[in-house]
Amino acid sequence: MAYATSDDPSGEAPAPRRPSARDAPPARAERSASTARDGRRVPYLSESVTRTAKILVVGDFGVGKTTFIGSASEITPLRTEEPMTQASVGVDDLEGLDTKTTTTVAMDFGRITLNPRLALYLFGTPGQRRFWSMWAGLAEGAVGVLVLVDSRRLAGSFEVLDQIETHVPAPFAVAVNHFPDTPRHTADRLREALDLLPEVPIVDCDALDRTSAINALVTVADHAIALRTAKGIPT
Amino acid sequence: MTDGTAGEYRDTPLRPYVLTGGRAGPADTALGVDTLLKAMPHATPLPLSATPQSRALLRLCGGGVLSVAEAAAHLVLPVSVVRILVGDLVATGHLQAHAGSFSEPSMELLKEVLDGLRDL
Repeated sequence: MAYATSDDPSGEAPAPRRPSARDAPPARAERSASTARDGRRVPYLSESVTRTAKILVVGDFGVGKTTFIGSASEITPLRTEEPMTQASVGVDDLEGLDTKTTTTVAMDFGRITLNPRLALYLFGTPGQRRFWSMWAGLAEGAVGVLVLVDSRRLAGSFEVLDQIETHVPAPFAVAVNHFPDTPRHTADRLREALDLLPEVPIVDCDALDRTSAINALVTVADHAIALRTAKGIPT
Repeated sequence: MTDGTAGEYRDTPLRPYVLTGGRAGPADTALGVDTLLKAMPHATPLPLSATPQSRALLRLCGGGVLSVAEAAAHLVLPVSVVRILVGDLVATGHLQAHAGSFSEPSMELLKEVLDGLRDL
């Protein structure tokens, strides 16, 4: 069924073609295929999964979001690209960007089936202000947000944290991704440098290591429950 | 517009919002990135005028359960476009959409996530 790959909007200049009757496949065939556009087998969820939850993994460029998601995810991380909206262009200074080009933002994500009924999705996005319109919607209904930080480049995380504190109602925790030459800071010094409230959890993390990545996610869920418990319980 | 006599505009591939008939948001169905999709069995075949993207989406979902984000990634389409295509296919009874996080998760769900992560 060649038509399936015939016009990819992300392609350079796909050849125009006219829909024709030949393109209409038999109904049965529409249900049998299970390969993605690149021909790989699609890792479907178990049929028993009926509910989902999500955690956002945000951070500066190059901080290890995709690595982290790859370590924790049960599927090879997937990527989707979203054109930036006019709204997001409006609130940001896109200095130096050619206004004629369409800017797209990549989102990498992964999945963990937590029990037969529940799947957790991990969505990784850049946290800078100009992407805010993208991930503000993503954060809605999220269990929480994990902010990945590179302690060699703390300044890169300031803007991300500002955005989250200002705009995102979901609870967040900070994970310091350790690179081989990462200096060891104490949690207190990091908290001070990042100007974080005492209640915001800070964990060390090795984004390459599954156990370590999962542990950071546990911190987010744990923190979400603690916050809810603290504010919750009506008298 | 009947199939086989499609006008020139229809043929032109295709900025994202052309695929969606110019719409920027889905009609009714609540569709999050983590909303789960499943093809309805025994649905009528898609009309001949259906776009290749809608067909590919329906075919993909015919193989099993996937989220909106996964469908977008596998089809190499923006999530915003897939949400609109899904909305249409749900409206015509070809796709079923359920779950998805929209409002603050319940305490029960938070605990289930925590327990699930700890048990990994």
